[in-house]
Amino acid sequence: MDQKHVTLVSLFEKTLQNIPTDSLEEIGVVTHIGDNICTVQGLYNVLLNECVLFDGGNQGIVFQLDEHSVSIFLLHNTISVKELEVVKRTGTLFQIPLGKDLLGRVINPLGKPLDGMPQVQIEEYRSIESTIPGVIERSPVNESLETGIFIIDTLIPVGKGQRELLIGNRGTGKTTIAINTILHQKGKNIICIYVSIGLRQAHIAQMVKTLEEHDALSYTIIVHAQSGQAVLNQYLAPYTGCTIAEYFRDQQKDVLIIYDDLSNHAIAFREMSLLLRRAPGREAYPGDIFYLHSRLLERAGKLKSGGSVTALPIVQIQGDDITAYIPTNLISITDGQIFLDTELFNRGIRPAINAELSISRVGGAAQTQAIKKMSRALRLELAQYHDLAAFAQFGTELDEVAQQQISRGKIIIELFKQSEGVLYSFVDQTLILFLLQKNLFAQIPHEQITTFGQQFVSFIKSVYEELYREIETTRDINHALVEKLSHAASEYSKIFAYKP
Amino acid sequence: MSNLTIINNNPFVYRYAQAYYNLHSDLFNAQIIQGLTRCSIALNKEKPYLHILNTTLKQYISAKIEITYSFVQNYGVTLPLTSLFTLLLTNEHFNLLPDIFLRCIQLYEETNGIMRFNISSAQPLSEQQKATCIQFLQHKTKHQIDAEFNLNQDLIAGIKAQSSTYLYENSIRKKIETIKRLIS
Repeated sequence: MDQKHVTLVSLFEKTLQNIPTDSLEEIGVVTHIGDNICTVQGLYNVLLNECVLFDGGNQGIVFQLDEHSVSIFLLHNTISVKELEVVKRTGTLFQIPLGKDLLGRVINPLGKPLDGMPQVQIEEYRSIESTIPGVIERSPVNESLETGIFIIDTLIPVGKGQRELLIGNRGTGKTTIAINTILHQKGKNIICIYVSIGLRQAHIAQMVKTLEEHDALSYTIIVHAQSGQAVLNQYLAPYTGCTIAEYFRDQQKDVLIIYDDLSNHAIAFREMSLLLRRAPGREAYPGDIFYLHSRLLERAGKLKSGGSVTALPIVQIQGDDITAYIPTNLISITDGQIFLDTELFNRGIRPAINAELSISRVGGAAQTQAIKKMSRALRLELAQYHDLAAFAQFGTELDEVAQQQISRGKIIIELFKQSEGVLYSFVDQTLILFLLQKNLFAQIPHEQITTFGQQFVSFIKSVYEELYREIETTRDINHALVEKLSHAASEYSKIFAYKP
Repeated sequence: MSNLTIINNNPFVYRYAQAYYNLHSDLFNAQIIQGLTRCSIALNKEKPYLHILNTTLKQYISAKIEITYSFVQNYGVTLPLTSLFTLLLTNEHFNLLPDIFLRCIQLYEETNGIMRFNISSAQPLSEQQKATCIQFLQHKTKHQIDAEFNLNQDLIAGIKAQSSTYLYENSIRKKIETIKRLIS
C-alpha cells in the first residue's frame, strides 16, 4: 500500500515539475474583520495601496499602515473572510485589465463585465494611480469639444483637454447634459467614458438603452459602481475610468470622461476614512479630500504627443448652495463650471444653465471661429437683460432702448432653450446666431422663435447646401459667406413670413 | 507556541512590553523565553481571573502581585516583574499581561534574529530532511530558525513552512490549486 502511494506521489511530482517553485511569500494574519475592513498582523513590508490576496479567495487593498498592523479594504463583499485567515502580498498596486474591446461595454471598477457578455480581450494591465503629465508634456487647450448644447457651445465653450464642472441641485438636468454630450460625439472619433458612482442600476440600464437607440454605445464605455456594493468600489470607480481614458489617450485618441457624480465619491471616501478612524475634518470629511479629487482631475489634459482627456465632473449641491465644501473644492480644481439653476428649471428654461454663474476659463481659445464671431457680445447682452429685467420688476417705465434690450434678451433665452435629444452642430448654431445677429427674430412671435431658427437651418441644408458645407469645412465665417447668408435669410423670411 | 499567535492590538501592550524589554533585555535568554511561552499560554486560560484582579479589591495590590509572581515563577520565569505588575494593576491594564509576555518574546526574537516556523509535511521527515528544511529557511530568511514539525496529510506531498510573517509552501496541494487557478 505504501509503495503504491509513493509511486503515485512520484508521478505527481514528475508531472508537475514544470510548475515554478514557490518562493518565500510574505504573509499576515487577519485579527479583526468588520465593515468590510480587515486588520492584519504581519505584512511588515507591504506597500500602501498594494493589492493583497486572502486564502479564501477575496482580494483587498492596503489603505492604512499602522505601527503593528495593517488595515485592508475588501474588494468583494460576497466572499467571506475569517479571523486568522492568511493574507499574502502580491507586490503590485491594484491594476485593471485594458483592451480595445472595452468599447461598448459596461464594467465594474475592477474591470469585470456587468453586461452579461464575455470578458474583454486583455491587452495590458495598468495601475489605477499614475503619474500626472507635467507642464512640458501638455499642449494648450485650443480645440473645441462640441457638446451640441447651444448655450454651452456659445457662452461656456469646452475644449479638448479641459475640465468643466457640472454643478446643480438634484433633478436639474446635469446627467441629461452629460448624456447629450455623449450622443453628440457620434462620428467625431471621440471615445466617451461614463463613470457612474453610487447610482441606481435602473438608471444605468436606461442609459444603455438610450445610447443603443442612438447608436452611441459603440464608442462609449460605462464604468458602474453600484451603491449596494462595497464602498471601495465607489472609491475606485473614477480612477478606473481615468485609467481607461489614459489608455486610449496614449493611443493618440481624444477621450471624454464624465464622473457622475463626485459628491457620491466624496461621501464614499468619507465613509472609508471614518471606518479607518482617521481624524475627521470639516463636515466630517478627511483632511485629504481635496487631494482625492485634484489628483483625479489633474490627469485630464491635452498632450503634445497627441491625444487628450476632457473631464466633465458632476457634483450635486443642496439647496442651490455652491459655497459648500466639496463644490468649492471642485470649482477651484476645474477650468470652469456650468451651474444649473433650480429656479430656471422650474420656470421651464431647460437646459437650466445660469449663464451669469457659469464660466469657461479656457473661453474663446477653444471655440470654433465661426461661433466666436457670431456670438460676440452675446454674454454682455444677456447680462444687460438680466439687470434690466430685475429693474423692470419694480414697474418703472423704461425707455425704448431698454425695452429693446429686454426684448432681445428674451429672444436669446428662448433660443437657448433646447429639448432633450435635440442637438445642434456648430454649423447649426452658427446659422441661428447669424439670424440673431441680423435681428431677424424681432418680428417673430415668442413661441415660434425656436421653430423659426430650426427651420432656417433645414432650409440652408436643403437649398444652400454648399454654404452649409463651406462653414462645416472651414469652421469659419468670412465676409463673402455673410453676404450669401444674408441673401438666403431674406429669401427664407419671405417664404416663411409669419403673420401676427 | 502557535505560529499564528496574535497579540492584542492594544497600543499599551506594545508600550509596556517595549519599555520592560528595554530595561531588562540582558536578563532574557532561551530558558526564560521557554518559561515565558508556557506562562503566557497558561495566563491566557486564566484571563477571566486576570480581569477580576484588574478591577476589584484595589487595596490588596501587594497581595495580588505576590500571587501572580509565584504563579509565574512556577514556569521558571525569574525576571523582576514586581514593578511591571504594580504599574499594570495601578492603571487597570493587568488583563494585558499575557499579551505583554508574548510581545516580549517577539522582541527577544527580533533582537536575536530568531524566527519561529511551523513546518508541516505529509509524511514524517527524517532528521536529515529536518536539518535540510531548517538550513533552507535560514538561507532564505537570514534568521536563526526555531522550528516545530508536524504532519498534515492534506498536503499530499511536500512541505509547508509558516511563521507569523512568512510562508513557504512546496506541496502538491498548492501546485494543484495553482493549476486550477490558471485554468479558470
